[in-house]
Amino acid sequence: MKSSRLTYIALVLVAVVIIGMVGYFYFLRAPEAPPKVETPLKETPVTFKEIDVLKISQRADLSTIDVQVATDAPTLSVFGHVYETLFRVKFDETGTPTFVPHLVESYTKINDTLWEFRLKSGVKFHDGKPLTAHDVKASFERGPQVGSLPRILLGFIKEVQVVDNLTFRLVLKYPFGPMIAHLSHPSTAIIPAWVAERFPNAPIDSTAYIIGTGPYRFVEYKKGERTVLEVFADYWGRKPTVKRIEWVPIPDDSTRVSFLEAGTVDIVTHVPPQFVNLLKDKGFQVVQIPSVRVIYIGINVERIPDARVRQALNLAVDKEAIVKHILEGAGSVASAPIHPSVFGYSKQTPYQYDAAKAREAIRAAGWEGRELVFITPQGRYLKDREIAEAVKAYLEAVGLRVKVEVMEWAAYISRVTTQKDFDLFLLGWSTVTLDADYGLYSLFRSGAPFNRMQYSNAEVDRLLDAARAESDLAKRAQLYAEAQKLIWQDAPWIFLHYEDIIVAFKPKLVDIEIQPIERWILTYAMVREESR
Amino acid sequence: MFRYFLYRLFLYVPTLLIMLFVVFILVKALPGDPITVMYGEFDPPPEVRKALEERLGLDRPLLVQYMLYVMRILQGDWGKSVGTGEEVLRLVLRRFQATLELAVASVAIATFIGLSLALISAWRPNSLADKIIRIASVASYSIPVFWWGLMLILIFAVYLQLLPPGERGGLKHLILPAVTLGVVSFGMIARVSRASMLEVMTQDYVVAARARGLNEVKVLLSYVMRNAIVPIVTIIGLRFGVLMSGAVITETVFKYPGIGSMIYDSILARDYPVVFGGILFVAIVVMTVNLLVDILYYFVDPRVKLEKTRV
Repeated sequence: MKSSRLTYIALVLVAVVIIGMVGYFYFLRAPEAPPKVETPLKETPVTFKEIDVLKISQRADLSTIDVQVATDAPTLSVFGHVYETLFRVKFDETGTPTFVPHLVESYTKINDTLWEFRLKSGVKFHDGKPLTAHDVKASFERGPQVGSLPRILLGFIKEVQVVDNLTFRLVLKYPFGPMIAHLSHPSTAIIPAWVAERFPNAPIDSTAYIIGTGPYRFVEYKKGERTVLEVFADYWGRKPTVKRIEWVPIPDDSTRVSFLEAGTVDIVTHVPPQFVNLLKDKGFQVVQIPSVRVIYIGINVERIPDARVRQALNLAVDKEAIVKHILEGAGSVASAPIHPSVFGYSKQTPYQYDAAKAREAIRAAGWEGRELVFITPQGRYLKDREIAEAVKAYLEAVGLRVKVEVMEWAAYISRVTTQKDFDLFLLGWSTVTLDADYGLYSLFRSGAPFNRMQYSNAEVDRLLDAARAESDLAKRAQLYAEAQKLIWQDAPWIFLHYEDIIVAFKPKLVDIEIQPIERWILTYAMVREESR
Repeated sequence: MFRYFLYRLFLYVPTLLIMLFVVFILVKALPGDPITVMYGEFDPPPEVRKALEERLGLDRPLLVQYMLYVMRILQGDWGKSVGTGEEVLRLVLRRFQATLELAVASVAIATFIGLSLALISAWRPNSLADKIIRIASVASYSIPVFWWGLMLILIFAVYLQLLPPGERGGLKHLILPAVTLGVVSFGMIARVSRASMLEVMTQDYVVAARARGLNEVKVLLSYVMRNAIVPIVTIIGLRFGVLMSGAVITETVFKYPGIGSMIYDSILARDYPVVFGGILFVAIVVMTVNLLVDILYYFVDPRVKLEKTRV
């Protein structure tokens, strides 16, 4: 009896070990890199083929069907193909942005607070109606009513005056330096006036109202399954090379990657860093670029008013180790509250990791042994929870006690927004306009909507107000540089890192535009073919 | 039989109402709301909050919200998804159809494998075959379902490229998720069936049948199986009921658009109309399946007299 039981256990153990080993060695280990094929001397002619259906998998489904309400990158990437803005951003090889007129034909400055714009003629909405200045007026009036982003982005506009069908004027509340950048953001896209008037203060309630002027029409939406866009025959611009785009949301990282490996989708976004080498070895194209998203730990300044303590918190955390070991290199340590590719960025001296100095400062300020409540979401940002755990360990190593509360996003965001019962919170912020105003004003100005730290510095307020109204670029940059210096010293954040964007796609796909503002433009993608 | 059916049907309504009320309270007790989630890192403009709360009735007292919801359901209005405006009833029906396909296919696979193995096992208890089957049964449900799912995807979709790794669309897409769920449930069916058959095996009428020289297949199928079937039907029914409410993990791994992942996602988004609609629908289905299983007893076990059974 006893021996038979032993046999059982042994059998089970052996089976488990065998299954595990087979699984590990056969499936999980990256296959050897294929031998390099010498390129033949004769040149093979290369042709580019248009694409009938392109399937892309993002991490998340549409969060809303209203472009003016949307705030998240996955939703705005989809709508970027359906709607268009007055201006648009282009990036050169170095990642430097420039803003070019898009729906606008020409524009002139009449004075500091009055600008006149002329729309391109012949632009049509998907319902067949032509684009007019009335649509611009209606869009800009509705946007701030329904959306937080348009509220920030269009807040500088006092009035939109329609001059004629294609001409309109913007009357500004104050001279506004980043105006063109703001008018390039997808949240300021133009929607038909009749839709705007039908839903003046609430999100649209049916996909039938998704009507833009973009190269793609919105044709099908199945919640959690897919979103389908089809090329718009009457599009005014260059003819798209992709006829149909299917967006398949797959939240699970392994599943998303396996869909690419199996050939079910052509492109996957938000690839976890541990898959990068595996995919490269298999011949997939992997693009890894820095994004404009900065990840930070906000410090409740009301509860931790002593700047020396906040600086000590910055010294206590080894940011480089976090980037290297937790993010596996998919990021870089923050050198300012905004990303280097953002206009107005000014490099600061990083808080070099120094646990001894941090411990000393905490003790001197009488904070030793105090407990901090640290709240963090899970699964919102790359490795957010792991980062929070690491920060906890770093802070405890310098004599503080930290209680980490991991929360599901909906509960988390309402707590961060409405209640103030925390000391530290982890969040990310993308400066999607690529202008410092967006990345600094809403976050560090006293009483600004996303100043969840309750940070207040009169001098910073003055600088940010002045920079916003300044139209001379060099002067603006100077003002932002001064503001960043003060913010960096006051340390209302533990400044962590900039996240990388990792996108992988099939070997022969070309001309997929991946922007550092976490947007992908697939309109002119093609398949490269080598014919003989 | 008919009276019993009516009686059970009569109990349906209050059970559903109580269940829905409990879910209503629980989901509303969760911190956060759909409007906050929709606006991500941002605060929704107060006017929108007001307009949306009115549209969704969130500004009323909880009890009133509940009553209004029930009234609307009774009128056939299941509401619309908060973020995306899709009609809940249509969404639920489509997702449920997917779930039903998956449940039927996986239960069929699990039952076929489970019963076959149980027969072999029970026929010669403690033989080598029996031992292997018993280990395999335990292993099947001890290994987590996502492991099976990922392994099957790796083998059949990534390496062999024979089958699609997921999504819905035809029989080919159904195979991997159905096999995954079948694998994790056949063990339970095999174990229960084996135990039940072994018990019947020692009964006098089986010994007598064998003594009369009936062939072994006939003994196993007509005498043993027939009499061992009640617990087997119970476990299969239970399994089916569980699968009806969706297999969230399997659906997630295979990106299979079933009802489980729909409810899960809408809880995260606080998309109340979808959460309530989904749960209500699942509850109706599970209760119906239970009723059908009870009725099935009547046919497989003549001793059951449904009319006199107290529920």
